[in-house]
Amino acid sequence: MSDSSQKRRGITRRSLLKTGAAGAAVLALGEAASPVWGAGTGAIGDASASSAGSGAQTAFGNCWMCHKLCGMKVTLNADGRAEELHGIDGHPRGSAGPGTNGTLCPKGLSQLEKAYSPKRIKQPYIRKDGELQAATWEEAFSYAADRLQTFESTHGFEKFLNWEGWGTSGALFETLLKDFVGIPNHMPHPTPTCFGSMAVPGTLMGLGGGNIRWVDYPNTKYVLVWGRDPLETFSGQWEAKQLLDARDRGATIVTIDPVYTETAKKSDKWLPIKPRTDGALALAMAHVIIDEGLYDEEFVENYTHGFETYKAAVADKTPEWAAEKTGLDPADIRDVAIGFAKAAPSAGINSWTGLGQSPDFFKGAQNVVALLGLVGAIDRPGGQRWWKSMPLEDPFAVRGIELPHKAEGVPSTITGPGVEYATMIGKPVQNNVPKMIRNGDIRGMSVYYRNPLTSGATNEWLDALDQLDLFITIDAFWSELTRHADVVFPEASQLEKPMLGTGGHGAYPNQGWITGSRAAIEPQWDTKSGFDIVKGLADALGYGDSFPWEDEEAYFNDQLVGYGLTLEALEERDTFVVGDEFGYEKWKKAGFANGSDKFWFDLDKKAKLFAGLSKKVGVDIQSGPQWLEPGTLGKPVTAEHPLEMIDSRTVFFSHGGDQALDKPLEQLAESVGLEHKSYRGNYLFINPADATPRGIESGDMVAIESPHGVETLMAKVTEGIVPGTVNVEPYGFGLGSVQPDEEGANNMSLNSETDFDIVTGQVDRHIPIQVRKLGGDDR
Amino acid sequence: MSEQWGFYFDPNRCIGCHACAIACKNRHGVDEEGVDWRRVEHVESGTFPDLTGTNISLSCMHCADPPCAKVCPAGAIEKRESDGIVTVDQDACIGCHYCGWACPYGAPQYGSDGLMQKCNLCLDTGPGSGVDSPAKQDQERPLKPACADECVGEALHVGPMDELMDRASQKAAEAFRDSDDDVNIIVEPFSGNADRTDVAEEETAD
Ligand code: SF4
Ligand code: SF4
Ligand code: SF4
Repeated sequence: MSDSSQKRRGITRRSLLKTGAAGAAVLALGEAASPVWGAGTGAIGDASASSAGSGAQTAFGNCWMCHKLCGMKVTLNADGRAEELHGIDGHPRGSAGPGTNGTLCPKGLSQLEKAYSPKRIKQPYIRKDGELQAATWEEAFSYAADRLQTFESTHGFEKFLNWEGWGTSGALFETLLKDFVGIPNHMPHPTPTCFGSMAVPGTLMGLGGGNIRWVDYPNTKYVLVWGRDPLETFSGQWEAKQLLDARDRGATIVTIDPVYTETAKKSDKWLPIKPRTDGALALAMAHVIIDEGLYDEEFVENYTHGFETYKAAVADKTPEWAAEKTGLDPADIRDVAIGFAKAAPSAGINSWTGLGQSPDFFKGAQNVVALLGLVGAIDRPGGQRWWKSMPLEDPFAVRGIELPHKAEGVPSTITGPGVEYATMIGKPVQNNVPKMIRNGDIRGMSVYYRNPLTSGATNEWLDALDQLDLFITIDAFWSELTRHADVVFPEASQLEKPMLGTGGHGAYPNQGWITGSRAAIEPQWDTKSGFDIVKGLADALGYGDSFPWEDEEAYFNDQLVGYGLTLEALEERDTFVVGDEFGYEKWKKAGFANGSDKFWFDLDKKAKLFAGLSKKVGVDIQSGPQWLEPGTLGKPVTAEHPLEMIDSRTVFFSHGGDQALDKPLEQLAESVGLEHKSYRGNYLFINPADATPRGIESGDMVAIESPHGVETLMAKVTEGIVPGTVNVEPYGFGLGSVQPDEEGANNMSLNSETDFDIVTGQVDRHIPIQVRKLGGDDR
Repeated sequence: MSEQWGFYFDPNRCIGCHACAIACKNRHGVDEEGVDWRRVEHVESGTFPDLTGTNISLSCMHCADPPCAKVCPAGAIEKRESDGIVTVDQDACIGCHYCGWACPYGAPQYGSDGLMQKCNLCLDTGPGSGVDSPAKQDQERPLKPACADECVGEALHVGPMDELMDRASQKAAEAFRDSDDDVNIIVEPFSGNADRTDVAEEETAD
């Protein structure tokens, strides 16, 4: 970027922000009719008056960039090439609800680039004479089938591990491998990779692990956005839109986060909390709420367990006490506690990975979740929402096909009580897999659209990959992961395949929905949809008869028979239907997510777990809400590694799947004002209080260093982060990623395989580090 | 002038997602790096923890009296009488970049062909298009400007300025009327956190 444009941008800001802009002189007079808009947004077959739209057709899709299915219209030109993508009005994931404008976020819009990106894996590859070589689909299928059969006779499938990924046909791939092939090991995503340290206490207490995200926005009065950034990393655009609407309506939004997030910018209050001290804030809030008599006595009395323990635990946890732990103002703590409790039950918490990725949160999250029980805000209007999805048919049952359930009875190497590599409660540990491979207990692996290299213990992984006897991948872009594989199946992107999904969380607070669409364009190059890959492999393995659908559309249509729908019929309804209304307070009839009729403040029914944990870590860990200093279960910061490194996503990328795309890479650089550098990696957000003494300025390359590893990335100096904390934004870059030059830092290189939550298996992403400025080359 | 088209922008609803910028690129097939007909600025001011963060989405302002057109030696830039949209005729453009220097907002962009391209308010698709298009309001099925159509936060709207005034708050409408600038964008005042500083007086830290 030239000097002149730098200057121009300065003027732009000042003049616009200062004046609110513009002169009356040019204001037009007279009536302007509301225009009828042309192609790109119109109905099927719209022909535009402009040259752009001639011969344009509209097809449909359901975005899969972050796997949330936002509905879309795809404008095709006369040659059938996709030219534009647009959201769908009223869509349950892509709009704010009925009668509102549907859109696509920058990831969704980048599907156009993804579909035609020359960086994609363009055909199948198989390993021959030690080299990955291009192959036909037939060769690749029969090669994979042969190798799997040899694997079974040599090692047995208890030594094969499948990674449940985010592929559009992930569940079907798992069915093939588990029920037909007989592979017993399947590494899930939510607990070891995503937010295990909160999911597990959330479920044990009865809220349900995933429900800590959902607020009934249309009815809420008070939202605590706590360790999540729904205006940036929304789970479908409906969420950002409804949160903005709630703000416009006058709901109070409070963001509790070490980072000045996009949501913080729009919040009534930002509480810049020191990382991993959230548990202290939650206890102090409970202290105030109980002290002021603002809790929901009726709910606590009739629907909870362990209140006395809770009450005793918070008796001395004053706002002043918590202020010291959290770095917050005691008056703010008191205000927020009172505001939240007074608004309840129309008050909710929006939390997620920010409180789910450190062993210390196993306790911290319990303290946070407890607040919802205290104020009785669970599944009540305006409170924490419990969703219901519309069920789909089992397509195998529709065709009368019985699954052979081959994996039944095959012992699992990764999951279950007493399994060596599993956690104290039998949960699988992804960080233990490199060790399993070293020990010869895992010899083969399949990964479908997921990347272990960027989600924990990267260096251990890179060594382990070389030791596998068989490695099968399905992906869209090359990375160090796929380059290590013996078989690489290139998957078509969403525009090139039909879709079907049901929910669940979305813009209709009281209704489930189904959305689906047919393929908009043909698979590009020599790629196939996930469904066709699974079916092709099933055929080669001799299970073809059990996969009788002629194509994926037929497979999806079977799932819709109960509703008398097809994908074509869904497209006629702009890709979606909504179901009957469901009500609130579902716990009254169905009980809580812990399988009991009570919400548990105290997890004393799991006393053995806490006794075991206490013994293991040498600290008294109680079953009730409790404060633990950061570093008790996770790693403390030290004089040598004084900064706590956390990480986050941005709106431009989902997890690790699409960092190869130019447009989002460039927009990311623009969003931090560093697009004039040729660097297209991720950024280290660092406060001037930490940057200045290290001589670091925005745009400098810096090294991040833990006792376990070093990575480099570009610094972005900002006041918008708690001093002592640095944020890698976004993760999913650097070594092992799909970023074509591996630019940026893979912060999981700094995670050691031994750093995970021993209860839940969650990889520890709160890593004490040092940061150094690198000399020389200015990129 | 029979009509003046322009923009309405509400920073309270802009989440800084850049969907508008990418939607514009998709619409006009602008794939070259560094060529941004629309861009999103992130402005941050204050010191920890008393901060204000605002985003603003910007393109050509279709100025009443466009400085770019005044300096163009080839007469390639036109302020259209019919709809107030400023277009560039790439057949006439000689690639001198004077317009880029003259525009206070960085709107003129240049691809590898060296020719100027910029927002044409979606009169038609592609760099330099729209020169001969009928007035926006007279088109039978005009293209809905892609940036506003895909705005995730419903922060950005496009239309005739008098229509856009209907959605403006009194404050924004007054500011627009009273401004000496001649840009065609109505901007709502930002109401961020409790401790907001006056963003107008601050420059971004980047
Ligand atoms: S939120 Fe964005 S990336 Fe995710 S499904 Fe919707 S449009 Fe796609
Ligand atoms: S109006 Fe059209 S050309 Fe102008 S910025 Fe928006 S999308 Fe781009
Ligand atoms: S699409 Fe809308 S919300 Fe997103 S950056 Fe552009 S103006 Fe802001």
